[in-house]
Amino acid sequence: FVNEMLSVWFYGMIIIYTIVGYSLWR
Amino acid sequence: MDNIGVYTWVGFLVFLVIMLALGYIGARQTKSVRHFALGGGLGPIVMGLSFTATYISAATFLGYPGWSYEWGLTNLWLIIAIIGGGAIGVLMVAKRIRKVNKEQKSLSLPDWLGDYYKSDFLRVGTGIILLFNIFYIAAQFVAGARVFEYLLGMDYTTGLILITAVVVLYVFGGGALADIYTDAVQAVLMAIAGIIVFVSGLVVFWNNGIAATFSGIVDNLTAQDGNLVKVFNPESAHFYSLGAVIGAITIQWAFASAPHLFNKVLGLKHDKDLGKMIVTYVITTTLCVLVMFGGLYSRVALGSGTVVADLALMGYIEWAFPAIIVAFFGVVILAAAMSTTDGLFVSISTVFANDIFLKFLVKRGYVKMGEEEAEKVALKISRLAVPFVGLIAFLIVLKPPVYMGDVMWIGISGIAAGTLGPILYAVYGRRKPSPRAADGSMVIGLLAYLILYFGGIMQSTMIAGAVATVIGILAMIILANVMKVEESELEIVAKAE
Repeated sequence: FVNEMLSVWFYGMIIIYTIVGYSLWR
Repeated sequence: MDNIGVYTWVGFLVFLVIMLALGYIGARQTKSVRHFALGGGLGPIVMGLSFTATYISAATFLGYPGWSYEWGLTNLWLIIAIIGGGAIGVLMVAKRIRKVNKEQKSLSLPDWLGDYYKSDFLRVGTGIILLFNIFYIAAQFVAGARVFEYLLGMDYTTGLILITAVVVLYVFGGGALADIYTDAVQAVLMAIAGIIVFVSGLVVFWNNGIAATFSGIVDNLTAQDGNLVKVFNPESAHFYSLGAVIGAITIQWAFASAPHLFNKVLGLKHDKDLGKMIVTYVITTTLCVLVMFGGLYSRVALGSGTVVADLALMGYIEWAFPAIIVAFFGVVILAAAMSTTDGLFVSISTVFANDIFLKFLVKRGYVKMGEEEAEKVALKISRLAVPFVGLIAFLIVLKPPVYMGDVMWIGISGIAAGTLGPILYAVYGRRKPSPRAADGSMVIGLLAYLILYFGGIMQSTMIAGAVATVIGILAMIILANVMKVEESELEIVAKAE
């Protein structure tokens, strides 16, 4: 996503939301 | 500048009147101290918003974009650390705190730890460590002073005197009584402000699509300084290497699983509400921290060295928006400074009056007086603590700090290093360890932090805090196991005799 650090931010947020969503689901 | 000044004054006065009215209504409705301190079973959404507001303060809102302005994209690690570390901290600890607390009804962290480990040393020690919160208050004062300086054309010192006086009077006027509601309002306002800032940059720098717009921003930053677009910016105080980033995530995790979380989690009516609270907190916080993009936009729009870093966000907002919006942001930051500090003033005066005076000095007989008289003196102490704490916070930042974010972290790191070992062991330990283990962890964690940061071994408040916190936790685990053996050996010896 555009450059390295913006990708870290963008995909990092997706990963965090997945983890939070998954653990609340459980 | 005149228009902005008028709008700011009007907005700020309207805010003060609303808050004091809320405080008055709140005071009539809160029945008992216990009920009041734990928020009396409020809804999970209000609690989630309130937790966001203690986590994202005025100093965060102005200070973190200042770091973005100075160090560029590398500061986006902070968003990852806050949302990732913070959410994991809450998920890990929240459920278990409620379980432990069902057996012992405690109000504050010194109470909770002191009761759990049955250690007065830990109770008083935790109370003293919580005085580190004065640094957190001081950072909020800087945020208020900077806003007054920028919007009303005062000099920094005058702005600092004004914000200190307003906050102290506000707490005396009962403003803190509606603490949870004002916190919730603050969180909503900050989330709105975060969205406005993030979107405004896309609109202002728009260039055929989102990715292309960000490319333009990245190109502009690269042209100014190649370090501004690096993943690890060697010039950044906090994100210069992978190890430093791990430290930042660790301390954010510690912050979220630490003291002020207790009241929010314990204030919920049902265990089922926890999930709602956490979802509210994660989403609101995500929107709030978008404000860090404001620092990047500021660097693109204004270039380097045109404003002090802590005012970079305000510089961008004035550059991009009409006067009334600039004043709105100013009032939001002032409101945040007040609603964040009022709760801390109350909790610090509780430390003096309850944890140190009533439950230690009077109970142990160091101060001899009857119960009624002691209650009266305790009330006086908690009243006097407010201007006293305000004055100390004022003196800490009388010489303006380079970054208000760092002042805030001195406080958070100190508290985490001293208390997280005993907290986590109470929540996760398999059996109750010796109280001396908890005492030892507190002393070792705190000393490690003081030596690492104030001894100048580590420049970054966040990393010194993270390392000291880990040392404190390890000390707790080791001491808990060593001391347990000693006690069981004593029993064997006693039986043999």
